[in-house]
Amino acid sequence: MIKYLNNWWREIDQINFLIIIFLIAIGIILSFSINKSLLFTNRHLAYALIAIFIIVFLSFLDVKILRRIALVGILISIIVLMIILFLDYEVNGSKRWLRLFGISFQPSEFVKPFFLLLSGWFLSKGIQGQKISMYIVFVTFFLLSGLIILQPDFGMTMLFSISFFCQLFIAGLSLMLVSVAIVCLLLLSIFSYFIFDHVKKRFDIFFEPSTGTDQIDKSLKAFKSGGLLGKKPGQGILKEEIPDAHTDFIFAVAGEELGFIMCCFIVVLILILVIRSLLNLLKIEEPDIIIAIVGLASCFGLQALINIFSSLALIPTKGMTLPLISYGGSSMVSSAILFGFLLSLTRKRKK
Amino acid sequence: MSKKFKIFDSDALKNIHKRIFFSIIIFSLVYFIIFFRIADIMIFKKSLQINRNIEQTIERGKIFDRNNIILASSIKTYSLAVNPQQIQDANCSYTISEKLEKILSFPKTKINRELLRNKKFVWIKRNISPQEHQEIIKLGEIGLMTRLEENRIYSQGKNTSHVVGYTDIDGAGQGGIEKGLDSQLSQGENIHLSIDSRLQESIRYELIKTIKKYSAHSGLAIVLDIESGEILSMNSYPDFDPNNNNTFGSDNLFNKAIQGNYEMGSTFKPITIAMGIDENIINPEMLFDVSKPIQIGKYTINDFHPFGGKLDLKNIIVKSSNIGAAKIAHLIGKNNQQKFFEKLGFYKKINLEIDETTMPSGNVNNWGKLETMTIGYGHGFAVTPLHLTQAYASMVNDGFKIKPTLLLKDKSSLLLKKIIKTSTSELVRQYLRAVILETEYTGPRIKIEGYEIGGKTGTPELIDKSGKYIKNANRTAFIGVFPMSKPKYVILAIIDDPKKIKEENYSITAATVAVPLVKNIILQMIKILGIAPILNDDIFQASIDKYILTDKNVTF
Repeated sequence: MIKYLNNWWREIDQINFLIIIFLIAIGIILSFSINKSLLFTNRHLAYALIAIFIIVFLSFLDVKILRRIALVGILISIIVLMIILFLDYEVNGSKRWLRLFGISFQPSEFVKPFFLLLSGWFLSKGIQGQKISMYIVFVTFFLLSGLIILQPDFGMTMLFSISFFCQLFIAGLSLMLVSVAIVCLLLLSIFSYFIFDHVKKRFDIFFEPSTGTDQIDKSLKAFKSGGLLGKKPGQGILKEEIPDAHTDFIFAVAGEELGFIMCCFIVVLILILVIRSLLNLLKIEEPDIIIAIVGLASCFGLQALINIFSSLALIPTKGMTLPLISYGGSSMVSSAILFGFLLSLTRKRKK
Repeated sequence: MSKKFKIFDSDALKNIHKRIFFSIIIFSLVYFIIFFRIADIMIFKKSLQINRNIEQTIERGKIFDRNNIILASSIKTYSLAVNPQQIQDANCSYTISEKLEKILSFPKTKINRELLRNKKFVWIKRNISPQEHQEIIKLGEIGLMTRLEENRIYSQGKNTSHVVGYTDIDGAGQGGIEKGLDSQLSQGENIHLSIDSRLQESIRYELIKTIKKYSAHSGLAIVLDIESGEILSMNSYPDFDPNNNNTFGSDNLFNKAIQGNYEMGSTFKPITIAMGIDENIINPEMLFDVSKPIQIGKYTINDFHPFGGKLDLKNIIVKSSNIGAAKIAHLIGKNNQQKFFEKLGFYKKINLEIDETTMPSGNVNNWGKLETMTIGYGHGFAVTPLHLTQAYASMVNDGFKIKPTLLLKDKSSLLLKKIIKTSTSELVRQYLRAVILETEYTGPRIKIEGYEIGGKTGTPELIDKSGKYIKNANRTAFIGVFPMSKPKYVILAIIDDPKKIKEENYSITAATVAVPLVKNIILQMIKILGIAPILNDDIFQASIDKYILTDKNVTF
């Protein structure tokens, strides 16, 4: 058993693994200061442990098995995504959640890692000449993004689409089509602005601050009061006034309590995680794995970016969590699956 | 793959370095924005949007009347809100709503519904009392929270409602000064109005008394200081209680004094005469035959009290002859009429501190020969009551345009453009005074010993929504000016649709309804503003000149 673990430790990307654990630890520290009742902190701890277990477990597995897991996972996700559109369970005006046995799931969170892993395999097969796999991957992509935008969850659709686009880009999408895809994404955003009220509201608030919510104001105030070294964990006051401090605005809490230096450190770690994953690609020759890793890494990098940008008022709020750090079972587990996949895929294989 | 065009560059995967490095650079660049942004906010403490929070903490400015009496002010009160997601379950919410029912005397079912909403923030009750606040704190429920808010209090309530206006529950101005000067008020600036709230209150009392006496539909009264342009009082009834939004019906919120467009009837005759004299078209010696009605097509211009003979200008006003005014208007012609109305400001919205002021609707039909004549005695041309008041001010103050204001001004207000000749203004003053001295009905009803009052009545017919005249329904108006030797105040009172009553011999003319009202208003002004009587015009005039002279000698 110990030998088994030793092998595993030698094969995985150790630095990435440590960064992941470190980010989860920061999430736990912040969860203590956000919640007055221990109920949430306990839950967060439980999610964190489950997440670490999932990461380790998945990173043991072989790519073939991962693919099978992802296949089962994505089929279930599609079915569930269809079902929840017909259910009446709404949170903040959209149907993103499935309630089962008293626990809420956000199935669109799980779609990301499953799809991005599988699309690597199907795309590489497609490029090698199997037309059918090319069709499968695109049909699945449009089906999923359609289902997610109907919830409506504009942010998730964007994230999902851009990650897939990154995969296509690395897979060698011709430059003409790259520009076409960028235009499509822009059109999609404009379309969403006019079709979906809550997207419109968020944009309007962002561009005309005088009508805005005080969520952003409070977030910025929290950052401002943090200063260089922060108020130390648990000492923040402003965090209590920020709505969604434990999910969308967790970075503002970090700003207030941990300070500028720590915030920079967190951002650097996230960036290292992304860059290291991309650099690992240079040692790998299998195209399916390359494409999968690009998708997973850019998905994580983009999600973190969107979350941090919106808490800094650089873009309108998106309702997106900061992976590994924010509170939330679905987000935590899906991030764990994502990194489990990543660690497994980047393992040094014996030749 | 398709042979016509390439979706993928086929050798790209074997040579991915370029695209990977490109991605890494893009990623890093975008991430570096974060470092700049957090350094900007956290170290250099710069951010545009944070200023807004500071603004919100400024207490909204107070509104005072001209004597420093508070009309609107803010007090801090607590409001009760709840985070339903912190209320564990239905059982728990039920016990809380039961406790809250006792404290707030709200039905518990209603509270319970709020507590179970799927939201993170729900108001339960705005503006709770200190006792309620104390008791809620004692409950010690985490889900309940109180927020300090500003609550606007209008100490004079209905009395100053149309002028002061009101705010919504979030403290944003929605009408009157509260809306018109919202930006200053929200910056914490105090506003001092030209309104005298004591005068305002007694005029409101007189106005309502008259409306009730005649079961009239509505009414309004304006008192304007000609010298400064200050509006000392502006009443419009029905009004509303700014402290109670149940009273905010559209009829109640309508400020007739500045929003209503009315045909002003005979009160337009002095304007017609003034424009004729000013343009040298008529002179005081001219006589006009008013013995026969004027017939134009199907329309007949008649006098209310037919007079068989010829009248000069003064008597056309004193006897209020429609025929005379129509003939003068015909001589003047449409072009001169429009030019003069333009000078008086009848084609422009009055730029008051309240936004509700409206553009006069003027003449809506075809302006032909007939209209020129009827407009001469105030039919077929509508202006707002404040427009008429402003026009009269210019006609009696030697012809200077004035700018009405609701703000307290220092007395040294500069006169605006001269629009009417001094000699014309002098004649108008004489004629308006003659109305009081020489009429059979109007004069005796308003004479006050020692106060040289002048003015003109008007009894136009009411117009229904489709633009037709309603039979037997009048608008009675009187516009008074005093003292006539050196006019200082213009008072306009209008009562809509008074009903015939036995005590007044079933008369509903302006002389019966509006004139006594203005008399009572002037009596109140004398009392409240402390206006001294002029006991003997000539002697007083002489002594005051002497006094001024000696005073000057002393000063220089």
